[in-house]
Amino acid sequence: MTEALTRIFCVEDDPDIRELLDMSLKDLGGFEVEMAADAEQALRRAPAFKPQIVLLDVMLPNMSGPEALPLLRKALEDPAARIIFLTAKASRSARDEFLSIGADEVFFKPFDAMGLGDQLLEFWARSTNG
Amino acid sequence: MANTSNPPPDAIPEAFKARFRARLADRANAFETALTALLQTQTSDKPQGTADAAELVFELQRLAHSLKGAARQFGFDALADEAQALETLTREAGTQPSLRNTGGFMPATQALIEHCRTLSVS
Repeated sequence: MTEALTRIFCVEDDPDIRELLDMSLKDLGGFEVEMAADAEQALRRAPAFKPQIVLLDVMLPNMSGPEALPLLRKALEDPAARIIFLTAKASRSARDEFLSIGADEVFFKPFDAMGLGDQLLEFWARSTNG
Repeated sequence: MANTSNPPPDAIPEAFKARFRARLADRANAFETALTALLQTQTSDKPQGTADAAELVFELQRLAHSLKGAARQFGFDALADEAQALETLTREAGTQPSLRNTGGFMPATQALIEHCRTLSVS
């Protein structure tokens, strides 16, 4: 039986977007949520949180999302963990590019703050049921 | 493709929009800091195209990208369009060192700074 989605880790440098994600996922979605403002913080803190999904911004300071992705996968030590890019670079070619470097899915900004939790539940059900 | 449709800005609580507006002053300051540092590299003895200048152009690009995404998210489309234009200009300047001095991104950055400051107090 598929484990229910409860833990989401967000890596986002923009404080306004972080607050909106927190409201959307914690307050509306009822998930356990942790946030990091950059990739280095995420690499330090995400493993202990054991996220089932990581929402990873692409354009982060110092280390980009694509640079952080393989390091996060290694640090999480959990093949079931899913990493989703959250990006304002919205195009089919961008999606293909990010999937080709190992992202499990790509979500685009602006995202539906009221429906993001449901979108993640749908993705989780789809990706964990093959 | 996942979630390509834009959410209605009305769905965002007003308190979040108000905080976004208030923080535009911080974003303006960040743009100004990067732009001032970039201008200083151009009046120093360092040759054009040094890593310092490239990093500062990239910082402007990153700030513009971040503002574009947030402004679009909170329903400030005119500001998002302006930020997107600056992101394009700085990306081009990042790949062509000759544009770092003469490219249109400097006045575009100054205009964006003013727009952010105006919105933050309106």
